[in-house]
Amino acid sequence: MLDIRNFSKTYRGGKRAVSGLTLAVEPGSIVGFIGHNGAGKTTTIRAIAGVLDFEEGDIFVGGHSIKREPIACKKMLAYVPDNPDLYEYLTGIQHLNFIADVFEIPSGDREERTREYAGLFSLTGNLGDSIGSYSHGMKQKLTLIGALMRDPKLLVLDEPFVGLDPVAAHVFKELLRKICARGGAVFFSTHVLDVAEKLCDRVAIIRDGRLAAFGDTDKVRGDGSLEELFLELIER
Amino acid sequence: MRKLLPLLRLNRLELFGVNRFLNDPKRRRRARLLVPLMVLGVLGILGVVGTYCFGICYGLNWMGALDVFPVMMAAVSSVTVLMTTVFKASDALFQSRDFDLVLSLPIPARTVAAARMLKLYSIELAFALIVLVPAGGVYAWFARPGAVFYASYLLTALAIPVIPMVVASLIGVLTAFAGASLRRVRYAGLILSFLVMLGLVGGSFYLGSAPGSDVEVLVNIARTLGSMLSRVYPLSDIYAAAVVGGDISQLLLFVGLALLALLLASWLFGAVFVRLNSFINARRARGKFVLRAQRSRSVGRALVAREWRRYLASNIYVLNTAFGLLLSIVAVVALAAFVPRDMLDTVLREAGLEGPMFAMLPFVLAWMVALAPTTGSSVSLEGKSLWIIRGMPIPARWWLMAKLKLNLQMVLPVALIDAVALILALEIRGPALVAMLFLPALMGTFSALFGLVVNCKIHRFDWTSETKVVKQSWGASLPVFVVMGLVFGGGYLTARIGAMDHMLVPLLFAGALAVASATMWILVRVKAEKWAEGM
Repeated sequence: MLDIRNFSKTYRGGKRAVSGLTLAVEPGSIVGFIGHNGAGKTTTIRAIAGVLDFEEGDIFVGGHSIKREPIACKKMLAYVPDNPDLYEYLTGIQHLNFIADVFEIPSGDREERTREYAGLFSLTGNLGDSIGSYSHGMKQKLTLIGALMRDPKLLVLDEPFVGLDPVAAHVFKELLRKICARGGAVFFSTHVLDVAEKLCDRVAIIRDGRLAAFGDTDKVRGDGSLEELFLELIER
Repeated sequence: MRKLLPLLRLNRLELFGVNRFLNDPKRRRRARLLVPLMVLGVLGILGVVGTYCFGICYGLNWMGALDVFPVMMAAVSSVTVLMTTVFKASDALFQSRDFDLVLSLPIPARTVAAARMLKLYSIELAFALIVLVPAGGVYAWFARPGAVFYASYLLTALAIPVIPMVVASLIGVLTAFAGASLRRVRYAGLILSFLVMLGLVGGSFYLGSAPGSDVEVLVNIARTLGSMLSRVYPLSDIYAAAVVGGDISQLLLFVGLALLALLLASWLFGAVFVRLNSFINARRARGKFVLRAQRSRSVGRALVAREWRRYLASNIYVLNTAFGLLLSIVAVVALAAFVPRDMLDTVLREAGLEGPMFAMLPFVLAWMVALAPTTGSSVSLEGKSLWIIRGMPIPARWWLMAKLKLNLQMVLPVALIDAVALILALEIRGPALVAMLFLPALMGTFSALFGLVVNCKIHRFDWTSETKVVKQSWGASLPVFVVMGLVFGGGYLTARIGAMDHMLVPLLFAGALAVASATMWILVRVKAEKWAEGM
């Protein structure tokens, strides 16, 4: 579903954020992307989502290159950034309708999906309010609803659990598992190693822009915990 | 004072984006290109203002009323500051994204308010100096005043923007407060702001109108001008005594009044800063939404609808871009409804302006409809939400063209209504009719496309207040200067070239604008993806 091949990104001014990253996410799997601050996680995720251009390597979503066929890729994926900066001048429902219009979701489906996801995240009553009045967590929930209602084949998430209350976090984890059970794939970054350990089939650890470890969670972790492994890799 | 200094340092670093230009390699390269252009632009403006000042000084000198000139220019700067601050004030003082950060620091709210006032002052001072520097130079050349004049003039120049800025801030904040009180009524704040703006423009016309007949004006021009100026600018007597009369006590009074006004305003805003900010920026959350079937739109319509919602959500954006359009309708309706054609003919014929004046009318209309395109800041206004539109499965040209459509949906109907009203009222026929129909509409289209291109190339997404992109950005300013240049240039050439009863230039301009607009439209379509990648 997601195939990152020798991806590198150097920012203007010479800073090399990611170097020769290669990894693949199979349909039906959840892959956690772990790394210290500034390791290159957000850069990679933004490049996958097609909001950051890059020169070296390529990224394929469902076999389409994000460089050459960005529209085809974006139709298949949903991206959730680490900070839910939304259109504060819209109400929640107007935002969801805008997303649904652009993704051409039929009226009936959009109502059904909005009802389902907004209900699960307990946000239905607030959908008529301006997004400017939302808390950080509510904005995060709205971003997630906007992503989920497109029924994406690939979910690319940057720190998706930040700001979610425990109930919403639990609901979201269940939804991720459902997406995978339907043949979708999830690629998300997190600093919460406990979540990665329990939720992910596979983990990728990035250190200073380079892939330090990648594989099945159990195999990568070995006998210790993911936290021990992560600290060992970072200190190396 | 000790706590004010770090905030002032922050202001200085933020002002005109200088710090970003200095510390971002990409912007530094752009700055190398832009700074010479900016310097040239400022010199050009100073030159134009200087030329106007020379003309006015020359006339006043001939009439023996040269002493009125410094007061007149002080009044002009004050009115300019008043007009440019009134709707910026609420935004600049209260609606800033760094509000939580700054107020969480151990700095008193009154210090934060003082820093915000001083930031506003530094911007307004720049506007005032654009008028006062060339005016002072020209006056000095004509009057040859003593050394005291230069010291007084400099001191008062620094003080002039303060009082109008404080008055405008009070009006602006009260308008925002009233709008926030009526937030249940949709667009109440916006309508109130328009009413205040129209009131200010109308009031300045009323106060500036000369009492008595033309003959009286000519008989005692200095007295008449003096009385007019003291009505427009109540501090004119003190200013005249301080600057022209060289009275030190009046100078101290003038500067003292400005300082007092600044201190009082800082104290007042400081006392209510947090409460007022919370009230103005409070959003209603009812939490009682009931989900029903939602209407679906095509992608194109959804994108344009989003642009309209974005547009109408920002009072400062609407006021800055729609006021010229509204004013054009008011002016045209007033002219068409209240001024009979034969009266206009007589006035113009007696002034010897009948031909060129009618030929210049399309340029005047073009200026009003095209002066401030919405596109000039529409890309920057995506701000930190840019990721949403960039992550969508649509070509960049679609969402960029939606911005253009919003601008054209505003400009083209107004241009057409204005033109038809004038054509009917003034019984315009032949080539003049063609120019009147097409020139304003084409100028509006050109400025919308030009604004879009400029904003695609020069954008800013990390703004903390909408004012920064709507009023103080290259995207918003460049189209204004270009349209102004085209209108003044076109008007001048129209007056000079008498071919086709002065209609040759307007028609040629209309043709050139059509070609330029078509070229830019193709450019946007071709380059949109590349430009979006660079955002």
